[in-house]
Amino acid sequence: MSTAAGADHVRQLPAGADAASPLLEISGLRVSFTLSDGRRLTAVDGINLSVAPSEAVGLAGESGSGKSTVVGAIMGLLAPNGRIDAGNIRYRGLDLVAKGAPLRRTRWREIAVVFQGSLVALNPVIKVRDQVAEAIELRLGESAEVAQEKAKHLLHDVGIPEKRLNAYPHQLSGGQRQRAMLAVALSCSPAVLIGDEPTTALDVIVQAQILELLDRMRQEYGLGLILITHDLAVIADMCDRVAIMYAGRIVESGSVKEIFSAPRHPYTQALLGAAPDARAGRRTIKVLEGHPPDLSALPPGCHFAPRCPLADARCREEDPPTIEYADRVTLACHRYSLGDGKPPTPIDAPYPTLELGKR
Amino acid sequence: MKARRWLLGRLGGAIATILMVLLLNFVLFRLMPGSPDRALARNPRVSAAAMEAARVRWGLDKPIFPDQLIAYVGATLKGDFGYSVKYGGREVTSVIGEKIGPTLLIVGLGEIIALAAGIALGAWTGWRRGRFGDRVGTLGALILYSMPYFWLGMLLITLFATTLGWLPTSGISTPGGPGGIEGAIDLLRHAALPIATIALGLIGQYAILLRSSVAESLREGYVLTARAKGLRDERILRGHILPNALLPTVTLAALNAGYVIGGALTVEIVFSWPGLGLLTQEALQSRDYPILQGVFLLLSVSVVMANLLADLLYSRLDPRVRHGAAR
Amino acid sequence: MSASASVNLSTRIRKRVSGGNRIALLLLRRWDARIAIMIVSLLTLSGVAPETLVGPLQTATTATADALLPPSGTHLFGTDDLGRDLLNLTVHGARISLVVGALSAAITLVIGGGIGMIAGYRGGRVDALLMRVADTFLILPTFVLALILAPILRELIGDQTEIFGIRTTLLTIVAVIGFTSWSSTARIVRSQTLSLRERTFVERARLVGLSPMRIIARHIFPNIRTVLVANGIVVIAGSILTESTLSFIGLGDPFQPSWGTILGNAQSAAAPSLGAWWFIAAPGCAILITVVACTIIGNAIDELLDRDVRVQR
Ligand SMILES: Nc1ncnc2c1ncn2[C@@H]1O[C@H](COP(=O)(O)OP(=O)(O)O)[C@@H](O)[C@H]1O
Ligand code: SF4
Ligand SMILES: [Mg+2]
Repeated sequence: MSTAAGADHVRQLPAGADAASPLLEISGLRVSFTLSDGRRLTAVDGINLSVAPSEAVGLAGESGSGKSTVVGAIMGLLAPNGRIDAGNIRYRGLDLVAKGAPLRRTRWREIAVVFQGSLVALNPVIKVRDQVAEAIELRLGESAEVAQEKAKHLLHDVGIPEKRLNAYPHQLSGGQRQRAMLAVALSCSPAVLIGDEPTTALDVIVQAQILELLDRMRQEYGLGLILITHDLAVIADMCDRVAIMYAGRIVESGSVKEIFSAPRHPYTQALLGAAPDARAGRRTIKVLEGHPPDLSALPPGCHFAPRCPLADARCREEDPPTIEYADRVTLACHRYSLGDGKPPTPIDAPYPTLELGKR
Repeated sequence: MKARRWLLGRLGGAIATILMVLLLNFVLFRLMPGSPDRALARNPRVSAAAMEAARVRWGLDKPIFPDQLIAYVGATLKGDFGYSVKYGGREVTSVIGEKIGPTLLIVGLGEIIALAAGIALGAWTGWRRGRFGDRVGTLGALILYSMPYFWLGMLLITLFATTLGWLPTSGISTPGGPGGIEGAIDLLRHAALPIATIALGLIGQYAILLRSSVAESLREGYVLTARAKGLRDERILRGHILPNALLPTVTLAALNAGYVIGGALTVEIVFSWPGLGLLTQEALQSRDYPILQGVFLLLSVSVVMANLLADLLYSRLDPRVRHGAAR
Repeated sequence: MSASASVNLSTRIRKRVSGGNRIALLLLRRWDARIAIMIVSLLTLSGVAPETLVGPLQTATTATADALLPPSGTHLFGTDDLGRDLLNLTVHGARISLVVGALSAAITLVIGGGIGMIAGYRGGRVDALLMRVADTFLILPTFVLALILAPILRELIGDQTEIFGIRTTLLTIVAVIGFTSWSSTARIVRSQTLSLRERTFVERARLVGLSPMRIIARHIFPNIRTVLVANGIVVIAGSILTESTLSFIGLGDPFQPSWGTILGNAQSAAAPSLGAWWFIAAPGCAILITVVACTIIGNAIDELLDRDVRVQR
């Protein structure tokens, strides 16, 4: 299969960028929103995240934990009431947070997004082919004919049948729409692709197809992929590394292999234990009680304390520090401390369990 | 398939509306002071023979329901609207027919100018919603929208015709004026203020409508995508928001056409512009009901047609409707 | 005017409405609404007691000044073609314009609210039929219909009587405006009723066996009151505009002149081509200010209701 629009295109970095710097690196990012009554809500509270070419990083967390806000900060597209309070976002060394950041150059050409819900993310009154061609023409400066030709190749590449080239979004199935959205995202051959819950609302089979396509595109184009989802199984299949978010903070991060085989943070344990695992023959599931906290009225201490079986007085008073016990492997929980440089031993949080009936 | 059914439904609705207008007109005709008989008899200019013919045509010797109703609807559909009281017993259709042209000229041109300007203003304010420019623009639109057309017209005459003397105060042409090209220019000079009045009165409405649908579109996912694509604001507005935001505006504008025409009629009175509005006022003063009913029927049918046209346009513009997907 | 202003309103579907008092409080926090409410209160005041403010209404016989005097110290707004003081006329006009506007709006709300609630509550064929009629009235040039109806009605009733001190000429205008402008209110109320019908407290009332009329009166109406108020204010604005247009054309009452009647006189006196701008300015500005203020209040309530829904969801 050809990679018509992309891989052979020689990547030219925007001015001021530096090929030796990390592809995308977020450090200490804090984002808050002003509410209508004047209070501020901290949606993202000091997170670190990075992605390298051809690498897939998963960002997981319940809905409302701040995942989409991270995307908004990266693209410079926070809602008007949102503000980046602290931290850095660097693309190849280029500061994307500073005033006058070259967002007009990095958007889509360097970093593209597949938003959640293709039905709303695509314009309902424009043909999908034109939506793919648009950025090629306007951002890469190609002629209309070239753009249309490339759009055709891209749509073919993501698996849209020839006869659907001139379709409007509503004429496509949910899966096809998400494929088309992927084609739109790849139209300027970005170096980083962010998928914000790209398969939510699709049925399982279509979901698997889209994920496979995403994986293929990552390999073909050498994309750095940030995959946002609340489905840990997807991350297990697709990603090299994972970061677990809770109430605006990353509570644990590291390689998928490490985190999934030996989850340490009580929240990670709850997430991983919340689904029965047929392959492992596990029939008991962990029950996480309560709700995520109200971000506009956070109590001091660990955000997870109200729901944590291991919480003690200190947890309710002091923020747990984030420790990095190996390269890019972090953990934020009072129960663990940086010992002798070896990974800390997992402590099993005593969640109530539920036995699933035998079939 | 679904799209066709949708359009057929619209067509059915339009026909039902026109039938209801006919029924309304029929009832009004009976309500009129004195029976239609006497209304005719009061009209000294209608000859006895013509009156007898009308009696038979309208079935006035038969029971009101259903015979007279059927006869009335039948006659109306054939274009027989009766006789004008004031205009020497002339047929209503011919009296009205003469006045359509002048009205169409000022309403049509006013409407086009207002659409263009209203869309521009609405898009501009909607895009800046909440900011200073929006506040000022929206207040301006609200003020224009709240002015009675006739008052706006009077103000324009006072300023541009009387005080500054740039344009004529009233009428459609200079009496005994030149013909040819110069005559056309003379006509345009007379039409300028009426057109401006209608346009100004309408701009506010279009601007307000478009502003709210643009502001609503700004929250849509596809706008976020367009921004993420790194497109320029102007491109996002023109290429992505307007094609969507114009759709409800088309519908609402058509819905309001009836109101607009009503207001536009008063403009003619202010400018002594010899169209349907002036005719209506004269008819009102001489209680010339057949003319009034004829004007009402004509305007109703025009408005229903405008709505049908808007529906067709909508189905052209919105691929979802064109392909029969849910709206 | 009422048609299009309320279409704006009806495009937003509200799920639930509550706390009319709270809305009133929130309204007072908005500066634009505050100014608008102040203006409307002042106008109402002059409508209630014009005699105390400017003395009795001047007529052709009681007028003392010269004709068409521009504004001056003695005649702040100038005089008309009969030498009447325009300040006097405009303040007295407030009473007629506001009373006719408010009464017409009341009729509009009764007809529109009633039809809307019945259509929404009964559903099915009744709903379909009523909404068909409503749509027709929404589309039609109802202003022209009003033009025909007003004189017919007047000739039927005769115009030499008074009811509650209001001459029947004006009452026919009230009736005609009410009859021709209820449709957008009906649409809004219907959509509210539709969603209320599915709510548990209405269902419970139905199960208990309350009659439809009782359910509408006890459970539906109290919940759409705030929406009706918001719509009512916009409808008043529309009614005042329609009234002024009808009066301008000559359907008003020369003995109880409204702002529109004064403007009609100005037109007959050729004020625009005489350059007598003051003859046009005072009554016209009065209409404009009233309509703008009412629209601002109506829209503000509407926005607050909208936000209410968003918060509650
Ligand atoms: N524009 C906004 N104004 C106020 N709060 C917001 C806004 N956008 C998001 N939030 C809040 O920020 C938190 C994180 O939201 P989001 O990033 O969308 O979470 P996720 O994508 O993980 O579901 C939520 O509590 C949400 O309510
Ligand atoms: S810090 Fe305390 S409360 Fe938070 S996760 Fe660790 S043990 Fe639980
Ligand atoms: Mg999200």
